[in-house]
Amino acid sequence: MTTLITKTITKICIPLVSLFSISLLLAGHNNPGGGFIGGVMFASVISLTYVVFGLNYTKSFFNPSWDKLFGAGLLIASLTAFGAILYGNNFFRSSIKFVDIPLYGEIELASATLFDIGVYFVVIGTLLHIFKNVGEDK
Amino acid sequence: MNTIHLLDIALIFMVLSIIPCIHRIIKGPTIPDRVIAVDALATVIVVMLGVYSFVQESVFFMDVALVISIIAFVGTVTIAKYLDEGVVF
Repeated sequence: MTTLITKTITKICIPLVSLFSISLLLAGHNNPGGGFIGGVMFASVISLTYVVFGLNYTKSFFNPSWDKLFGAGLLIASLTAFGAILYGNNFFRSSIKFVDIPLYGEIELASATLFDIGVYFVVIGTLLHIFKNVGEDK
Repeated sequence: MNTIHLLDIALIFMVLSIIPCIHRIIKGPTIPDRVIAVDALATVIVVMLGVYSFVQESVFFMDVALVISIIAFVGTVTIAKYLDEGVVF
């Protein structure tokens, strides 16, 4: 039985850490961050929810199948790697493009971000699948 | 010209304050002593990263400090629940 303080702090932490993990994901490939550490942040806050609120209570309203997320992330990452072959380049070749958006400025679109999104899903799926199945074992 | 700033002296004292934390981790008689020592060590490292970010005039260390503090918080809460009740979930 966890105390009220821990439950309140967890409810505050969930949106902030999720936003921070997405910010780390999008800041990757030339700043500190990237898919792996963003996925670790998201998995840590979901596992904090599992620990604080109890696994059975959390599964009654939030029970996605994390192993399918693992497969989807691996598919995205490998399709990004093979996609460079279609354009006649080497395997894993990345490209970059600068797009001008009105009222905002210039943003940078890199194909390494797609690979990072794949890594993000793989890390979340692996960690939370292990966490949930170890917790269910009696 | 090399000058020693106040923040450098603060960093030296923070490195010195890691030593009792490691002593408590190695010699702590019970498990809660070690858990609290690890939490204090993480706090000292986070503050060191903040001060070092001012020294280097770079914002990149703040991300590292945030990641270390979140992971230390989750680990401490989990170990505290395990030591209190005997189960994690």
